[in-house]
Amino acid sequence: MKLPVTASEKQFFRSVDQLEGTPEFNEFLEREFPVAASEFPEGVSRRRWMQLMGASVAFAGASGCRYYREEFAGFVVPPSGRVAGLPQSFATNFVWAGKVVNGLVKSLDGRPIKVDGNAMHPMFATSANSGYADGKDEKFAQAGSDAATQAAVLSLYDPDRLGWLVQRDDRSLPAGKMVTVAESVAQKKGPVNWTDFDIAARSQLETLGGNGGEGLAIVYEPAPTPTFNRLLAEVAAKFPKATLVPYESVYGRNAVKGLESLGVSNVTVNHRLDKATVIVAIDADLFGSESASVINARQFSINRDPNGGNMNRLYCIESQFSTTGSAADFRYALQSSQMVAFLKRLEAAIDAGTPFEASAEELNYSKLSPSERLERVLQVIATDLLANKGKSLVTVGYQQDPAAHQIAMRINAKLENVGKTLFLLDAPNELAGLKSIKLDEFARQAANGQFNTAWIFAPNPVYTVAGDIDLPAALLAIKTVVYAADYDDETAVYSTWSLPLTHPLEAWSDVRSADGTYGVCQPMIEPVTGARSSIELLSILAGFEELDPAKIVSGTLQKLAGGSFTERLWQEALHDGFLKDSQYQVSSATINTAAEDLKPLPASAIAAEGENGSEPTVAKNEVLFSDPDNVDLSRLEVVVLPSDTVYDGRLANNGWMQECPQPITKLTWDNAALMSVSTARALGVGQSRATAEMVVIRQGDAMTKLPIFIVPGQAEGTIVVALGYGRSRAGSVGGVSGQFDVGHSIQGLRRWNQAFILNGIEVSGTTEPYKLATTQDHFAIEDQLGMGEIPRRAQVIVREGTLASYEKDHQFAKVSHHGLKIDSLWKEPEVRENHAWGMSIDLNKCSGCNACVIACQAENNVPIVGKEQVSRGREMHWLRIDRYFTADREATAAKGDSTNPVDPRIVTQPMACAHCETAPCEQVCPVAATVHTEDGINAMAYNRCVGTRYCANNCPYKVRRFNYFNYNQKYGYFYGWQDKRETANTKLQSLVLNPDVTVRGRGVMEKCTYCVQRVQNAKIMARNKGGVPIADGDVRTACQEACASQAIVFGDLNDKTSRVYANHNDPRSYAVLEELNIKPRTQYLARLRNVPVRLMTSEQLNPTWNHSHSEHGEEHHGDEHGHDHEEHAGEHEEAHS
Amino acid sequence: MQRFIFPRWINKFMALLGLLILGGGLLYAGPMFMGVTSPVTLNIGYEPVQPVPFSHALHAGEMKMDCRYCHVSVDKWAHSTVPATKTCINCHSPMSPEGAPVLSAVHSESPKLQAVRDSWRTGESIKWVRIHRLPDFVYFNHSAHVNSGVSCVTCHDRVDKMEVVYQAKDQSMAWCIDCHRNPEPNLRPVEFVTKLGWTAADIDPEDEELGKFANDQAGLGAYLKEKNHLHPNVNCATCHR
Repeated sequence: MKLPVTASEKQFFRSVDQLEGTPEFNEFLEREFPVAASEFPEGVSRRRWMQLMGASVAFAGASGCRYYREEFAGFVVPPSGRVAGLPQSFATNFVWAGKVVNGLVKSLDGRPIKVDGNAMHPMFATSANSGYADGKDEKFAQAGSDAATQAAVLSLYDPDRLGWLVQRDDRSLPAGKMVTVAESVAQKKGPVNWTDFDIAARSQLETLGGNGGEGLAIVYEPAPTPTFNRLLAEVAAKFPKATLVPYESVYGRNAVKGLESLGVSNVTVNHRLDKATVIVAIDADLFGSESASVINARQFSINRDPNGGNMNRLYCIESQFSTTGSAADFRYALQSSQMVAFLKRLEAAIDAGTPFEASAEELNYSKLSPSERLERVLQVIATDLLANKGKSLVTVGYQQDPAAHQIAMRINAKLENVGKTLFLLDAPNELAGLKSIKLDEFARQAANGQFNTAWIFAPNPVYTVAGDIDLPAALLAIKTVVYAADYDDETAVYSTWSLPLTHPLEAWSDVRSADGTYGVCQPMIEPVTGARSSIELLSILAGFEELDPAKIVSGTLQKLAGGSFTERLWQEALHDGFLKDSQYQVSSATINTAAEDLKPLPASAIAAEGENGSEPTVAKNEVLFSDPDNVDLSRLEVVVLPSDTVYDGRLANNGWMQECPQPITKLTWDNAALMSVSTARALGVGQSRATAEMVVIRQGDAMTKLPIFIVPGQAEGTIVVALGYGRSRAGSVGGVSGQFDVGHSIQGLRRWNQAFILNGIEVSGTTEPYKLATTQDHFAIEDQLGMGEIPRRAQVIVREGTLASYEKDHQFAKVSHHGLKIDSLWKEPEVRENHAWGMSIDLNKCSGCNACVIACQAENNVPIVGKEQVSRGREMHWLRIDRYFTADREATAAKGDSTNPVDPRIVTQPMACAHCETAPCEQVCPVAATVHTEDGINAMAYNRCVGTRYCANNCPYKVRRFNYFNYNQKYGYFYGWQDKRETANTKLQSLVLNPDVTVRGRGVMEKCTYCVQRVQNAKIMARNKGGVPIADGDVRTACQEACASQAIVFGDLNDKTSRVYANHNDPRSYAVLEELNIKPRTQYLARLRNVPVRLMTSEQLNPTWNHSHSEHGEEHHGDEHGHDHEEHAGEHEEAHS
Repeated sequence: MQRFIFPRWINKFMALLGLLILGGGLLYAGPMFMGVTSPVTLNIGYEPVQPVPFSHALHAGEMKMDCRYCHVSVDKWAHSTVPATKTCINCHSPMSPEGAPVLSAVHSESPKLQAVRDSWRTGESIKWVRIHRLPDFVYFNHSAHVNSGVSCVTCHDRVDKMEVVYQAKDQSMAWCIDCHRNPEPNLRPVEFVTKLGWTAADIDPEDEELGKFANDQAGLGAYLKEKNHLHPNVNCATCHR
């Protein structure tokens, strides 16, 4: 199949497979669930299966009897103010997967079950404006969060967490099975307990105290946590000869180095995307892996309403294809190692100060050669930046060269953006002046025997450290290694003491947000595993009398607030989740634009010079663009980034994250070497949907073999690999070496000085196949099969235009259906009694970040199914994010290579049950298990469902999910090992379940319910309050609450003042597959790209929406006429005979 | 010994035997499934032994204590909740170690209250046995009913006359839906919800608003339904989520 050139063919595609029309893709189109979806699970023997089923039958027997005793335990003294079953919300702040979370935790009967953002927090309150001018911002106030935060509760109840203290005196012995909570429950008591540790620690500290801490090293993860840092400073004061070793696996110090080179130190940079009209993201995944992703998404989305007249513009220059790239108005693919050179060119253009004018006869962007494209991009961005001085922002990704940060900051200073869209804030450094060394130095010194004691407060450094540092050998050379451990992981094996560490929801701590706002982290639950927090452990090390962590944290607040500290202030800080007016002050430091240029790191420098080995002082002003026709394999680079799901591997044992489809690849349970079509061709490797060939990546002696994955639009010659996979001791979800692996580790290839962008690597293709579990083609809506009408559909499912086309024709997203008579076969149901619930999703704001997917999973007890089941298309996510590629069709056609699209772009579309008023699923259910409520929710009565799956077959959106197994019990959170510990695990894991939602069993169909539990509870609440009507914003779905971009709006369509009503009446609003007369309650607002004219493709310059449709309509009419004739002819013939 | 072989004429009776087995099976299965497993058979009359022999007849009936003194959240949210030990102790506090009464020490040494005193002393909960139990996939909210004027008595019968509480109504889905379709016989002014013996006959005929409904439950129900905008839903999502 060829990439469509004419408008009547498909404009959007989901994957290269679709372009090529591979049999696998077609299978996913033809069948709701692929062949053998209902077959026996692989890897479970029939005998085991009979045992499992036997067990469930036995259970059925027991629960079938009415008179089994159910006991309930009343309180002895009831906690005041708590109503059983009514959730309470508590504010807390913590660092989770490298990001500061200002959270609001929903706690039900004392058990945290959901984490959302705290809308009252100043970070969000200062950008609370939603872009709607209806005065309801306060009512709709929601902060949003990210996928990892949503999954934090699952990690809390992870039965694989370190269950008790482990002492390994002889670390040369085989490490053995992981010590987990389940194990500790089974054995009741560990060989050592906290008292043993306290005694051992005391005697150890006495010896250390005697010689001033000689030989003591403290490895910690630097984070904006004031109390931890204060205690660390206390420890350093008590042991003056001790060594501090800060180590952070992902966010390095590149940005800081860049700033320091400009004469600015001890500041933190705070972006205000909401104040910027033009944003240039240079290799910066603003809405993905950047640490401020949530607030970035929030601030960016505020100016995405085309009606407001202030729509911003985002340029994204990147090597990978990130969520930011998909959300960008214009994206240009360039190798990561070229960014320094690119920025130098940009700076030169800005220094020149003359805007570039378009010449009258110049060609449009589609017709340019790759080198001309680069020039055009530079010219347009420079011109745009110059025109928006003080209203623009150039940001660079944390993984980029310090030199890139230096140039970008200089550009911002020259554009007068500092103090307007970008703030330098004075951040006090509690650890300034303390003796500290880097981890590489620590490893060297330790191996030389310079340390006899090490305390490790960094999560799993043995796994995350770069391959050229032999941390295990270093740790083995230290007599006593105390490791505050989440799991009995790779690092625990090399530690003499592994101490169970609390989850942030169990601990007292504190944190400062990007703007400096101080917030307390308060425990939501007693430590489930009997763990201690790092603050408690540090205070032992510091030899404190006061060991109560709450008092220690309030001591920090007291220091911060100074004289104004009162008990009330502390209580307020706990209640609100932040200390009022504790933001950092704006720094008086100025950027010295005349400072000397930084020397680029080897990767950028060599690439810019174009020759290996030489060490240039500054990069040349020559950008080597990515040329798809001529991939230069000598310039291959590997970009290593934290995974969008499991971060640096610390979330590897979190099933929700493992099964969360990665935003662009839709890959689950794996990482892969992502590369463009041309790069894969140059390497001679290929991929056919789920089966990919492996490549071997070598760097010196280190090598890794991993499967490829083709991402159209990635920079040529760039291979992107996610960190965090291939764990050897993660747990029963994330992998245990020797038992099962999840993904491939890339750590061995990383170099201490080259952590993210690796060059000088060697990549060779193999023909070895590897099976990947990707959801990218699952549940494909655009159905190529039935009838001639269908090719029209793909382009009406996602509708995209440019801002210019919208301004020309507001109705561009409305597609007229020529000759389509909408007639219902039966009387249409009345589903608008009292309320008419509806949803609107703004594709212009959605970045496809997955927060809603995991929020839905957490709210609605959606199970995970495992890699093997995902590859059979059995994933259970109620809400999926469809990702459509589209490309510059003219340029692609000109090249004549339809499977290698030029300049691909992405539109993401969250897709869940649309609650059609005339729902096709309801019409085919033989047992009326899916029916409508009076207010228009398409409800599922799980208990009635007999599992015919007719409804799924009849659903045009393919949003229904079927429980092939008892995923929640047998294959759910506890996936794989079934033995007697199972009961203990199930009990712990089931704490994460939301009691307001039924846990579905085998053979039952399920799907999005519009969070009917929240709707019903809101109704009951309104009645209990004396019949006050439900106001707009009272009912918010889980996905809506999680959306930082505020793309999702839910409400009552009967209420003419509601936001959702306004959105449904927006000219951009459209219903997917509306021609089927199913009247979906979820409608989408069409995507608009604010592309400058000089960068518009031919298609964007001459939008084909209406044009194509009238054209197509004519064609169609023609067809119809022809058809009619034939029919008439037939009738005549019949009449004659 | 030679093997016994059935004579050929027996074959005629084989069909009859089959019929008998089938018929007998049906006769057996019919009542088993239709009758024995019916909620009426299974649910009504369940009367487990509680750890404390608490008499509702005494407390709620004779002493006319309000239901909500113990079942505190019944008008607030879904669960009516069993009382905390503290609630019992309010009246039945144990003697002080010196043997002096503390607070209101009603029956402070009664052996029947041993479990309460143990719980108070040790901090361990009293393990009450649940009587009325709906399946996990049914989301029943007490407050939605109580605040709409559906009395406790409608579902729990005259608990104030029960020495030991038992399940008196079958609480099946059909039974729920009957009332959701036709709530009038079970509606009363919200203030009388916990007065289990209250009937429309108790309305003061002189009452300005309700007087005309004295002895007229049907009229009262219709009036209250209209007045309080009560439209009980019967769609699945009302109770199944």
